[in-house]
Amino acid sequence: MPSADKISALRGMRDLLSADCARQHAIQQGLEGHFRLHGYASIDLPILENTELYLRKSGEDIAARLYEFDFKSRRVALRPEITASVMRAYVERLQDEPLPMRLQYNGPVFRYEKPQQHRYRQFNLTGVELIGAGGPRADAELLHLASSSLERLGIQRYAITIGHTALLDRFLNRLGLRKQLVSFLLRNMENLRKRGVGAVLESLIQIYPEYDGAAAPHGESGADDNSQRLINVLREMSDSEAHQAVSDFLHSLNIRIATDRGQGEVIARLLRKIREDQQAPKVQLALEFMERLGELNGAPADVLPVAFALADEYDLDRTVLTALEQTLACLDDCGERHGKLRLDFGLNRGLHYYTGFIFELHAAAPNDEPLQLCGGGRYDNLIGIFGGAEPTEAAGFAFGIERLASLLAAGQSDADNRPDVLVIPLAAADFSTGFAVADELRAHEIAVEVNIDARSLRRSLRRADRLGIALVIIIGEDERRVKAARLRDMRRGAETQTPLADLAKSVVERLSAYD
Amino acid sequence: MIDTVPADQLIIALPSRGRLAEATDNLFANAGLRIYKPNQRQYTATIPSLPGSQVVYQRPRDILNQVGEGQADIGVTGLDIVAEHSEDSADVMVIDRLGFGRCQLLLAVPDSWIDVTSIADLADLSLRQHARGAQLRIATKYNNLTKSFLYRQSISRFLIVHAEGAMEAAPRMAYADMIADLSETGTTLRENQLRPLDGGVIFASEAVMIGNRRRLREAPNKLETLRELIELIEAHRRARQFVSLRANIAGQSVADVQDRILADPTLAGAKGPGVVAVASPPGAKKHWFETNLLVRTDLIHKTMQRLRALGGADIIVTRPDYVFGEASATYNRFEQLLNKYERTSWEA
Repeated sequence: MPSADKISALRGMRDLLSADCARQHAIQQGLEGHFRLHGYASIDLPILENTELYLRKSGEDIAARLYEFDFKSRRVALRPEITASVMRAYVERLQDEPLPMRLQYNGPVFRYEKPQQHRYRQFNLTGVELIGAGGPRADAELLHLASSSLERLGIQRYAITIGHTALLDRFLNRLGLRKQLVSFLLRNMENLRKRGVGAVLESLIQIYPEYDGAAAPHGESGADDNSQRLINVLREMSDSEAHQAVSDFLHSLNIRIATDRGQGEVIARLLRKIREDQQAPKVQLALEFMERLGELNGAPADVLPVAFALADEYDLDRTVLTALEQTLACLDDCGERHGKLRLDFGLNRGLHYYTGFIFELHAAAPNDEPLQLCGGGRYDNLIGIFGGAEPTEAAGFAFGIERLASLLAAGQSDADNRPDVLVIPLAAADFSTGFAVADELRAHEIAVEVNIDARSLRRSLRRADRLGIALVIIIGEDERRVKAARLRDMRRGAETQTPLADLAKSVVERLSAYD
Repeated sequence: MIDTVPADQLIIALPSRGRLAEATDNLFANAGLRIYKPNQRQYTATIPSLPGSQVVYQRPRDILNQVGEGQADIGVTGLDIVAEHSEDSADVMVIDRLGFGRCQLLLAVPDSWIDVTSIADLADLSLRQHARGAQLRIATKYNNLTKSFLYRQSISRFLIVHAEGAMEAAPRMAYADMIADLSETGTTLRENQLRPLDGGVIFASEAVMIGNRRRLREAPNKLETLRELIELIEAHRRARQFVSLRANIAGQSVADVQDRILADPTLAGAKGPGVVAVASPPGAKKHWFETNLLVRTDLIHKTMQRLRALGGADIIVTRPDYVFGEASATYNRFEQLLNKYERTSWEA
């Protein structure tokens, strides 16, 4: 065995090297400045949180991808998104502040998923939260902010897709489906559209065979006629009668229910299960409705009337759609973005906490799959779920920085990352002058590297050449005596002696002549 | 111990004990790779018919580590162990499934839970327990597989209680509510008043041959030894599905017998039968022709009857030791996998 094997980065993790790093910082700063101009104040929250924060409402999709572990007997997780942390922090510390509150954040998140192009297990989100404001105007502000952010970054070709979770939520709630079924169906909205009702039903039955309506015509337990008669009898009894009957029955068969859960609880759940409405026909209804919703996809003017008709057909509250119509009307006046808007009632963001409008921004790539750059929406219950004192509306969005960077990568060099000037003090005695000169230049926003290689001037000049540094300032014994420096123009190879007092001015002039 | 092995020897880690140990030794022996243990107590052995190799005996769990860290080049262990502990390893690769040591990792609940028969019930129960401030506790040594299975089933409210061995007792001893454990026949579960959940099979396991991708890529000599090993095992395993069937068939000529065999689709096979004339004694009334067929084991009797119907006699069935194909599918697949996980392939 070699004694020092090299240590590799973890799979799916990426080292961001200088040019990429500079590009990402520039994007982050650009967004941060843009959000600040809209009144969003920066906050910075922990990367490590209680696992519970993500189990409570994010949904199993996120839970399955958590970097989660026990540390000193405590369940902790690396954050997979930042909204939950912001809401936690709001509940803990910010509830007394005036509303609406505008906050922005920026930082890494972690998701354990299959690494592929533009998808890493650690990546960066920059986003905003608008807390304590609801309704079309708040939604419009967020849509406007998200799309103007892209334009600010110089991205003109993109599409805005807007959806809404409330229609489906209300329909599923009214059906009285079991919670895990609702959760399954929400997760499979996208799947339904791509692969059809049959495929979704198939994967449902794989997980929960008892919901196979076709296989068990007598009921989900697959009961035969006699059992069905027994079930009917139990359904007609009152709770306490039924409980007593089952209890007596078990006793007569000498079956003892010995478990931590207690006989009472086991029988109660058994009865609830037996007497519960059958789920399979409801699943069928839900899938039919979801299929109809998935078809509502296109320009707002085309889709909205059909959506209203669907709501009427299923007797669902129209106010959801009216509000969405108003949101779009607020944006109408920002004319230039109008053509980029698309409504899609089949849009599903994979997180369970959304309660209203949701949206995504995609880069319009001519040959590729559209690249998702931004996602967000409304989650009016989240603060309540995290223990907020009173129900508080909230909504927000986040940009994926790596995605933006990949889009902006073309046509950028790493020039931004290089110093403009290299200061070379020749002897140890010249160092204090060197530092002083460098500091003076930096005060003019000029990036300066002070040479620390003591070996030879020629070697130092070669380095300046390799890095593409424009100007070199050489300070040696001769210069020290006359309080001057040699200013070397690397592109022309010409050197001039310049008094220290004039040095900064001269450097600024030469550098601006280069640009 | 391992350090004394010549650098180009293929180091093979095999199970020293547990349910896979004897079956692995038998597989090697039957494939003509009898393992010679100079001393029952020692943990090293050799395979005289495979000179470029060296065997080390380890526990199945340690075999994964040894192969992962490159102290062994290949090994035989359980797929359950690989899936549980090595999901994200770029170095460990599964070379082949070996078809023995089959068992299932499954969820089991106490018999007393008459209200819980399915995954849907479990999902419902976990939410109700959580609403009352209690956790659904599951004892297992397969933390990762169990967790990701439950997440896939939309169950996220549970607590894994890590246990090594004898976890069937956990519900009775009240340190867990239910278990996720390996089961071959379900007997141990029943004896402990536990019942498998419908749809609760987390993972189907069997013995697998694993290898260290990085180490094997660097060593062409080892690959030659490994190719021999893989081909012998593959051909031996394929041989178990077939018998060789030899018969004498009465007929006019080679062409006549050939035509009659080819007319019967069950006998014709993909490449057609070989037919040779048997030297008949002078003045014999019948002329005999010999044919040889390779037949799936479950078709022995049917094929024999067809041959009889064609006038066949002296039908001899023997078991082949090896059946080699045109190429080794297992080795070809292995070669493709060997170079697959380049870390840089997806990175910008």
